[in-house]
Amino acid sequence: MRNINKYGLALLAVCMLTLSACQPVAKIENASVDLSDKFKVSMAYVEVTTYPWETFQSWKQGDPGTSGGYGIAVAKDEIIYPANKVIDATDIKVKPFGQDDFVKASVKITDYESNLALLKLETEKMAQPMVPVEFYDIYKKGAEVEFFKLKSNGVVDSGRAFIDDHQVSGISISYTRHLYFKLANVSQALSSGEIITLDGKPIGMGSWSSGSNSGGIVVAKVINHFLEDNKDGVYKGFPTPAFSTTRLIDPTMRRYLGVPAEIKNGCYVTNVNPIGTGADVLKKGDVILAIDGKELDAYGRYMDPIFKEMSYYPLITDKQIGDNIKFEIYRDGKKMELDVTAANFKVEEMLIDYYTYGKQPEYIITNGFVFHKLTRPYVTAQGAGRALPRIEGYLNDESYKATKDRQDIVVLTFTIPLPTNRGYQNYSQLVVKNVNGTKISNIAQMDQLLAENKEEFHVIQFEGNYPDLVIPVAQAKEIDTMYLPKMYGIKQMKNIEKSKVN
Amino acid sequence: MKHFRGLSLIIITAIVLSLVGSSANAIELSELEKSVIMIRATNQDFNFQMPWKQGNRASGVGTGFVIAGNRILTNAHNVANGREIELRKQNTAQRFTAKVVFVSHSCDLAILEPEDPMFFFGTEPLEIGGIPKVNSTVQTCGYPMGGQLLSVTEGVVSRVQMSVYSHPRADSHLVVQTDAAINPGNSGGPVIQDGKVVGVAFQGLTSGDNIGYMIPTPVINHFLKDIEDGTVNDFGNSGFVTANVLHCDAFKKYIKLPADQDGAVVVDTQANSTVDGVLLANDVITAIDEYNVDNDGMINIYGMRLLMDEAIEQKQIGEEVTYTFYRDGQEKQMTVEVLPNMPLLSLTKQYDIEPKYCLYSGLVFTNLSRNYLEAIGGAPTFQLRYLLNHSMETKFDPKREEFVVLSAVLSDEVNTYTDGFTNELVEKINGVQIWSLADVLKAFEKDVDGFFVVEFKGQNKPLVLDAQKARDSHRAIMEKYNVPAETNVKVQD
Repeated sequence: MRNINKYGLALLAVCMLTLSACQPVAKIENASVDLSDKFKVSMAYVEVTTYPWETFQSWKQGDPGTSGGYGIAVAKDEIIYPANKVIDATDIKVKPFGQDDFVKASVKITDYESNLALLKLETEKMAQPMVPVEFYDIYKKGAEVEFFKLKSNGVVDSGRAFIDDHQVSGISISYTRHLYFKLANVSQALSSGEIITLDGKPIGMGSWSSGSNSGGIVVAKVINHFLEDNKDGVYKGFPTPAFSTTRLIDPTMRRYLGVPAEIKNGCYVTNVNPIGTGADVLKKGDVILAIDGKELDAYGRYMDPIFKEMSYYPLITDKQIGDNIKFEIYRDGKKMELDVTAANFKVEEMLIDYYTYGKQPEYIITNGFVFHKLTRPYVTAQGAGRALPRIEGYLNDESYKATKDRQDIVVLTFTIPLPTNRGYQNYSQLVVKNVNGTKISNIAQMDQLLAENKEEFHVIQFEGNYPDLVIPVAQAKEIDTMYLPKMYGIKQMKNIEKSKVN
Repeated sequence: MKHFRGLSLIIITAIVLSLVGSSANAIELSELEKSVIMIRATNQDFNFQMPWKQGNRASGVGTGFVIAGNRILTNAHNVANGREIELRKQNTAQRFTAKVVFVSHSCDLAILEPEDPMFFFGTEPLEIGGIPKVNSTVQTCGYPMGGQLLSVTEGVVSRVQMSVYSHPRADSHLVVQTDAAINPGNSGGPVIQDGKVVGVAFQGLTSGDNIGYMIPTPVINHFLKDIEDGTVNDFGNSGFVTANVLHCDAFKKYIKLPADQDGAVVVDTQANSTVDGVLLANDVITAIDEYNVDNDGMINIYGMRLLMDEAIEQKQIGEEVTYTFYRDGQEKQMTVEVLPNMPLLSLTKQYDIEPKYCLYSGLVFTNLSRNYLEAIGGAPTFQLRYLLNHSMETKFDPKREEFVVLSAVLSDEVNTYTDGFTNELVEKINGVQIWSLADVLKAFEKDVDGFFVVEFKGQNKPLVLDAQKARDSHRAIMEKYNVPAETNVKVQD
């Protein structure tokens, strides 16, 4: 209940702010004053050069690419910017309003789940401090919004759109969902980082475009949570549900689960991951009746005072890490209340990392055999339907389920043909089970086992019907140190993150 | 050693009839006219999703020829799922009704018999010859692309190899590739060299030019010998999976194989085979009978280099085969009986067999088969794909006879909310493990506290029906959808 009050107060505060600011804004609009002047001191043009690592030939980087976008000041030398635009960034240049020369910037925080990044500018290069923007948590379905951006030539540009709807959705870079506003009739395509205003107040940041004239924005509530979180200098992120649900509209299924006929609401828990909010408390088969006092319908939606029917996700993501969230559920024919601690996790805690942004893939090459740590990008890079069902199965069912004995899945990706690996050159997508007789937990351990081996051969065994892989240790050493560097220019025979070694 | 491969081979029975003049310069045409006959067959397929319904009916033209003993040899695919077979001879307008006496869908051959023995008046049987040499000339005879007259085309033998037969989809046997035009309607026709049959024309490759295939005489002779006892037993299977890793010297040393020894390395054995539990991973097969196996898993046989499977292919079921193999540096020998290929999940397409089903309260269950997968089309669900890709390497419970899927839901009030389970694998019904279709209706006899609960593999939610309502509506749903019986599976007690 404590949390509801906190949330209620926050809303109230926003409302009061809205009221107090109401008069002058109305005047400005009547006078058709261009809001560009008001916001230009908070805007910046951003240019990011990215240089991603190759997924399979992971000792190489792909082609560098540069993209432009628009940042919004949240402090005198800090801007927010979409996180998806700074993935694998090697160089970030920012041109704040009122100066022609670029200022170097660095990434302070990235939160790929909410698609927000906080960039810090080198203060001494700035002509003047920027004016932070305050974001207002307001929503009006169908209302016209105006958006602003500072172009690379220093000119402020503006466009218009309508708020079409809200949506709780996942974006491609993230494994969770957040609240977004969907814009329609966008006069010029949103690219990223535009200030979106409603009634003269910033309500969010341009995040994506879809189709010809619609787009999405990161909303004030999410931005403010992001900024608030960072105030103590330790960024914790948004709580993430550990569970997934499905609708529970079948009356027979409800009775089977022991839900009394008079209770018509509640959705069905289909899966609970071992990491995230509810990991240790919820169980597959539970029926969630309410979260944080908000009743969920059979589709898992609650009635939000502003947005009407809405997915339960914000009931979790709006909380701070460590907050207690009350869940009311049905389990084994009994109604019960559960105390759930709002939690999230780092992507590295997953068995199959959802993303590897900014990181070189982990791999080992020996005797021409290229082994990788299995990650989601590894599977998606093969193309839809190209991964073997065994690999796809790990991705679908085990992604979140790392244990002490199994922290990584290591896969033989391909073989660089050599006389010493003849007979094996066609094998790929094989999951490593044992290395020199030991069942491996992660790729670092595999590296260690290879390094410690005093025998004549390395013997690697795979899941499924495949022959043992036999590597002559002495010859492999020569190949790894002499031949591959000379013939293929491969200088780095492995990339292992040391943290995971047992 | 059976693999599922996506070769785009096309079966060449003519479906579309158009008039094409027959080749005039055929050698010994008058002789061939006495032996080569036109086959018109009407077939009706089965419906593998709702097996009580009939599938499509179609008619096609193929070719056959008379062999010794007043028999007609043709392709199995000309008469598969056949309902009516009609024979036509070149020089008479009379039509003859025929029936299938023997059929092997695995090697795409069938023996037909006319009802009227007078059919053979004036016919000449063709003699079966040997394997034609590469680059030698052959004539293909048949009734391609319509027309009443026999057509003969000439070409050369391009190569001899093992290849997938497109009629069974997953079975591989020896084939002879030729550039003689083989077109729809040629199917089942003889390929002639020096007046003898050296093959039966049966399929072509659509993605290449002038690539036609015939069934060569080792396969024909195997079939003819197979049926001598009055039954079709088809081909044996080695029962093991090998890898060609002896190209790697380190591997050779690791398994203590003499450096000059060639062979193929066993990686797994198939359940229900004579070698299961006898041959072990890392055993090296060095010879099958008198044929030495090389590092590519090939042998020298019939004066050619062919896959070692050919050594087993030429044997009849029940004959013996001797494997020479190395284990831990020691040479060993083992003689076993050749058994038919009986994987738990067969990827071979079935014909002439009515699909099985059970129906309860609108839920239609059937067994997973090649035909079922082709019937549902598109990409199978993840669980099915997993099973198909990894079934050879998964050790199943010996109790399992087959895999059961929910093939359809006949919509009714009682099963309103059961979408999303179609094409999924059934694991348990009312807590009872389902090992075969025969278990399904038995499992519905007892409810679980007033519910029927069907659990599917990999699904995080069961399908639940109100038991009383399901019982009450069971018959009514059958009537509504005109289902004649709740099952066609005979349950043994």
